[in-house]
Amino acid sequence: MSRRWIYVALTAALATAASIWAVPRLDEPGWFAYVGQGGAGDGPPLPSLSPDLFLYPVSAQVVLLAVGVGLLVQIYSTAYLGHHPRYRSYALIIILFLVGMIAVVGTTNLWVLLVGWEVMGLCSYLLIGHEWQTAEARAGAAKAFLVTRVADLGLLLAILVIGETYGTYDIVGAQIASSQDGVASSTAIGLLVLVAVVGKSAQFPLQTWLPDAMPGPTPITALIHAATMVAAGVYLAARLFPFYADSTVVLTAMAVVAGITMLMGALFALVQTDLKRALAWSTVSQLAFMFAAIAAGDPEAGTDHLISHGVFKALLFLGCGCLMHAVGSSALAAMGGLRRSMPATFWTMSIGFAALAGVIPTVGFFTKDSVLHAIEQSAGEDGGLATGTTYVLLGVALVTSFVTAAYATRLWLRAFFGPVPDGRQEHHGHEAPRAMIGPLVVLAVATFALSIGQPFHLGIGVVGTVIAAGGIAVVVWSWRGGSTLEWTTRPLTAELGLDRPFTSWAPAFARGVSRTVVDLDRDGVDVYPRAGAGVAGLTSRALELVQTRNVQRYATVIAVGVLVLVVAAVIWT
Amino acid sequence: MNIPIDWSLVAPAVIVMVGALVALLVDAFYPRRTWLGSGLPSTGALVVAGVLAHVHRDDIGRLSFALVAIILVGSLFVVVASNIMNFETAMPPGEFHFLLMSAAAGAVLMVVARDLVTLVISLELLSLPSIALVGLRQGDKVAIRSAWTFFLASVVSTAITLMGISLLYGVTGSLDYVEIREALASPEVPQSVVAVAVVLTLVGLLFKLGAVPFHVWIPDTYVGTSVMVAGFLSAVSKAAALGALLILVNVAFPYAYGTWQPLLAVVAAVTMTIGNIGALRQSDAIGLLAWSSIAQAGFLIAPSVALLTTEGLTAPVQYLAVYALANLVAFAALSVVLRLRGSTRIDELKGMVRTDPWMGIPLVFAALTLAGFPPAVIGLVTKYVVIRPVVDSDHVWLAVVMGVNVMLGLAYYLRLVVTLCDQPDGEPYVSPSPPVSVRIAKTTVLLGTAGLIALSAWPDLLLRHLP
Repeated sequence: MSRRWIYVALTAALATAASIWAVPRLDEPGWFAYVGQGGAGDGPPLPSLSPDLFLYPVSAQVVLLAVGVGLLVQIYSTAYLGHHPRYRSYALIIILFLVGMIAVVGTTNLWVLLVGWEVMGLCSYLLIGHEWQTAEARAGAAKAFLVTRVADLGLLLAILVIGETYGTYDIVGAQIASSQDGVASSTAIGLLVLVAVVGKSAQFPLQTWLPDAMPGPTPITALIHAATMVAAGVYLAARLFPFYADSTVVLTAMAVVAGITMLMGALFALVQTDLKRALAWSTVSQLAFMFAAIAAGDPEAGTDHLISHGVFKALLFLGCGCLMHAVGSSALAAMGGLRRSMPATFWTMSIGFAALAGVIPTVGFFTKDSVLHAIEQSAGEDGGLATGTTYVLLGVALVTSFVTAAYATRLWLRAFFGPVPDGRQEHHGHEAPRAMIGPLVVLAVATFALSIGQPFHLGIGVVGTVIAAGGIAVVVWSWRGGSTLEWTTRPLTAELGLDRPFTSWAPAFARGVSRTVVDLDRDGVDVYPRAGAGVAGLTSRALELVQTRNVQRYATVIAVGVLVLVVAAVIWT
Repeated sequence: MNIPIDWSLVAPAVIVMVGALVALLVDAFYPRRTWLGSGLPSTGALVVAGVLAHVHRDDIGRLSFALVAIILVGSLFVVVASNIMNFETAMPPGEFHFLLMSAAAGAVLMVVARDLVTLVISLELLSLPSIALVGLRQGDKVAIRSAWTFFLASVVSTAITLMGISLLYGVTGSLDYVEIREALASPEVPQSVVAVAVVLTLVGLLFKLGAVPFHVWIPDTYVGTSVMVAGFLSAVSKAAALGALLILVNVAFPYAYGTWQPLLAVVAAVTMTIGNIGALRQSDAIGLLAWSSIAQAGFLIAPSVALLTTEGLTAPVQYLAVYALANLVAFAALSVVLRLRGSTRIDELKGMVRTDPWMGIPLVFAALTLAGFPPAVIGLVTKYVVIRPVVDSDHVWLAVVMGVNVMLGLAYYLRLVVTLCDQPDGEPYVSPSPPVSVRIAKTTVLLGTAGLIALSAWPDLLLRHLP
């Protein structure tokens, strides 16, 4: 037992160090303000890996969120996964992941950011595949890795384009250059950044990996696939926002992606029969909310929702872990009636669901309100979005709020109320150990505490509350009416078959292409290196023959060499 | 003729020479001939010389100071890592340190020399002790044979250089670099005589660098001598030769660029290709490093085609610093391996990262640096640094040759790395209870590796400050 706490202590040390660094930064004014450091040179400089650590207030918040949730997850895992034979590697990978996240958020050097980004992708792969004895976990890990690879390619190209455009790989330096010489290549940079974040944050059309990442241990889902890594995509989009803010194409594309994803994710979440998968789709939908705010020209609202969503979604996933711990499955059918036997989990998760649904006064309400307000504002004025897009986006966002409130209520009712399913008598629900409940309570308190000082927008706030209340009311009403809330709409349950391109078409295509490439490579290309290697080997053998340890021969070589050089020099001159 | 002595330039070399004499005297009069007895004065002298050079760095000039610093640090590394030879009865400590320090003094003088007489004298001051060092191990026939090879090749090259210098004196009437440049600027000098003179003068330096066709002595000498002496030859001696070449060509021969530019370009291309191809089939790690150091000499010479630009002058020095450090780390690690296991055959090194990570990982990192392969970022960066001036001066063909050679180099460096990281075949033989002196050498290796890792994390550290 005590050995498990070593890793908690390590994480705590990391969290403390990060807090000492980040907390003083929270009070500084300005949002990604310029600072007078680093300048642009001529042409892109050498890529360097100097850490260049620098925190803005927003990055400080994200760092604190990451290390805070990381620490809670580490404590939670001592009870949840402590007896796992590979606990040590699991705990260490969490720490490595946190270091990667700090690198992404805390640096101004784009290459260090890329390294941290890749480290996070790697850790995600390793942790999804933690139970590698099951085929499901292996497939999910491979899928997540391959899909996010597309995103990484986008980021790499975006970095190169930024370097070419502004002559520096330093974000702050590039910002200074853009403020002096004007913004350039914004469409190219923006579209590449969009590719990067669509993959990393599981947005349409690359959304498919996140629900399949659910075989990973539940605390990991809370940390990586809800609170931090997927949110890093939003963070990056907000961080690099100044470089593409003036491009209508990019902002409109982002708005379209966000609109499609948010409604789709919410609808999928509504019909899931598995609590964890439903929460995964909910994450996809909520991330799209953040992108909508960025597309509407208010990245600050997006990052605020990032922080708030990170807290309450971590709470929900950790609570989901408690339920799975109690009933041994994440299927909604196996739950039900857990209100009495698991009071602490019930109350904390209720707060989480309330925040997800956007019930006042949880932080979820305020930040959702800010996002809606941001979209409404950009609809009023002449924003960066193409005409008409904003109104559609606002409409979709309001519909999504309605669906979100509905599925949150549905999940809450099905998990905690209703009849106890048959066959659960033998290991009937019992409360989770204290190491698991503690983090839930902390996160639940944070869900309220973070709403202090949040802005409130009266008009849209009232509309949002009415819509959320409507969503809740519809579900409660149909529940009262005797419905089991088992909604199985065929196309939605099958997730619209959006997975098909990834599961059957892409592999078939890739197999065909790779077969051709292998043939070409073997018969057409490999001939040259093989022949080259053969020639090099032969020459090498010949050189060995010259190297006879015969001094006279050496002197001859030198003399002939000099003669050749002299003759050549005379002829040339 | 009257050659004025500028003491601020000569002081570091004089201090190193004094250190050599003290090391010899301590050994002669101190009844217990111990390694540290002569090693400590040598270390002290090198440090003091470094401080003096730093004080006078404005007089010495940025470029020469950078070269002096590389030479002094390299010599210090060799002196400390040579503790590995402590308790070897065949190795007399006093003579070893005396010869090593004399050669180091010659190396320092070579890069501050501004006239041809000083150049030749310092070249000899570097060569003759080096030859004696190679054959110093008593009763070692292979070492003596290597020294003999080295000696003959050296004599031939020096003779050729002297011929070139006498021709130059005949044409220009001076031995001073600046006066030679002015004399060569006039259109009346006979161009073909100047061309022959320039080529012949450069031969001695190319020989020291180990450029083709003057490379034949290198594999025999490196394999035949003590590992740390080979390290000295590959790092310090090459640094001095390269430095002297850069300064001589840049200061004295700018008007003869029609001669040396194609010469250096062709020599660089051939050298790196021959060196890499020779390294491909080596089965011994020392032999591999010997051939690879020939190839690296090609990379050192290549940017000289743009020698008259600032970039062309600084790029080789930056490359040299990283190459010297990586090579010294590799040689020192191999000397420890040789001491503890009795062999440096590549097969015997299999799995060293697992069985002996403290020596295996430095070797891997040094090999990756020499190959220019991440995570040894600094190796990659310096490869870029030397290719850039070549491309900028429109020698695209040479840049292509360099690119091909980077790939050729990867073939054998990565093979070494893969062998080192492989699963070991059973427990290797390791000599029991190594003495303290081995630990000193190991510490040197680890410090050098730490330096390489730090440079990989912050390449600016090197690129901004050197030269």
